[in-house]
Amino acid sequence: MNAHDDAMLELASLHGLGVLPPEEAEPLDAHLQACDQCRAAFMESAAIAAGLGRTLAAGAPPALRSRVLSAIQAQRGVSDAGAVTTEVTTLRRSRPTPWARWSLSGGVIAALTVAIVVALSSQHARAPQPQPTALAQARIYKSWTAACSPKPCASGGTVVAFVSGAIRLNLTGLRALPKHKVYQAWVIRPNALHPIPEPTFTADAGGNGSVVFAAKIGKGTVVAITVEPLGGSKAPTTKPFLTASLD
Amino acid sequence: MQHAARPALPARASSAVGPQPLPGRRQAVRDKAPEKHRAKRPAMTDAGGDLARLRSRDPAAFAELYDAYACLVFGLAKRILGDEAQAEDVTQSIFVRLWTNPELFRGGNFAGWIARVARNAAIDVRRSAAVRLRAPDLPLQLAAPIAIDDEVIERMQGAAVTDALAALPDEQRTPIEIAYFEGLSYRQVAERLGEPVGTIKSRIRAGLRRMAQGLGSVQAR
Repeated sequence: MNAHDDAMLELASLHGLGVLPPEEAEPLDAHLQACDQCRAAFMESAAIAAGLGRTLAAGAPPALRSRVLSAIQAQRGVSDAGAVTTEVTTLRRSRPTPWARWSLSGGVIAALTVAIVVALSSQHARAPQPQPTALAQARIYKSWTAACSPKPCASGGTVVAFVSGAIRLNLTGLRALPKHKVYQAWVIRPNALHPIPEPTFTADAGGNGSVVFAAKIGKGTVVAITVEPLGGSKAPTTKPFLTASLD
Repeated sequence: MQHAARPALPARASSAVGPQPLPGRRQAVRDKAPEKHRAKRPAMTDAGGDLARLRSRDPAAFAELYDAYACLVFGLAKRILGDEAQAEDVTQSIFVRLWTNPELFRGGNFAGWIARVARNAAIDVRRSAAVRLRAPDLPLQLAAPIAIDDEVIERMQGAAVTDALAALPDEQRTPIEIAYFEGLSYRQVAERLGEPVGTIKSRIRAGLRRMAQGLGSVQAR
């Protein structure tokens, strides 16, 4: 075996373990299909990697199982919310968080109490969905202003939020935004320094908007909605007009 | 040779013959491992049943698949990310994506495949944490480029792999541990350990070969 073959076998072996940088792994994939020796080296290391991974197995939270199975049920198009309602939780006004750059006072964020209906929903659909039945009426939403420099692009209105099993937030009462603006969701974990950007969405003609959160929304996690430039932002550029956390 | 950082050895896998005693520090490390990390072990082979469950589009069958492998996916993601919530996100994303795209798994050993997917997805999330805009995707390149045979995986049962790793000399074991359990590339390991890239590459390869020989693996060299 020559030096070239040794080098290829070495790379194949490291690739099997999963420790090659992507830029080195991708070109090697084609070679693996054609070279029995390198494929065997890859396979050998991949099997070891699988064994090592197995040693890390840890009990996943039971709630995660529910979320995953609810999500796949939603993917099947099951929409019988009443049959799967398992929990009623109340959103409350957020507590101050380390996310200090967002001022949650000064009239920007009003007290918001909304009903949450746990229902099945699609993990991927971002278009507004039929509203689930509210178990309680949203109470108060005072006023808000979404900045579209130099003028506000939207303000006021009553926003009612529903949260469903796959962590979909359905909003009604949204104002239409200019074409270059979108609504964007954010997740702020307890003690986190920075918000996690979530998908953007728009409101339909009826003022309905919907967003499916990618991140887990658990107790103490704050969710927020801002108005951002089209395409979304990596960090919020405006103050949130809605913020809430799970009780 | 002194290494600045050494990751803890993972919890020992349970086996039919019970845990084998290890000398010194490594046994002590394993004894401290949380019970939940030792409690559940995914099956490593199932003779095609996983593929059938995936393709059946039956939620009950999929739930069985989740029950069998969620601990593997979650544990790996948690180890790489060091964050339980993020590990849950990765786990959910992987299983939902599998449901919607069962063709992502193209055969071979499912445990080996999903372990690789989970590890790569967790690394991907960690790399892009600052700019994450949505749940981690699972593009095909995250999976193994070739299927891993059940026959090969069968040799990786129980504590055999951790024992084989523990038996390596430090200079081979340490880079393998850092690379795999911390989700680093061999180049990052070299940087971490202050060793030449070529040296680390050779040591990882030599360690893997030695482990494979100890585990009775077959390879054409």
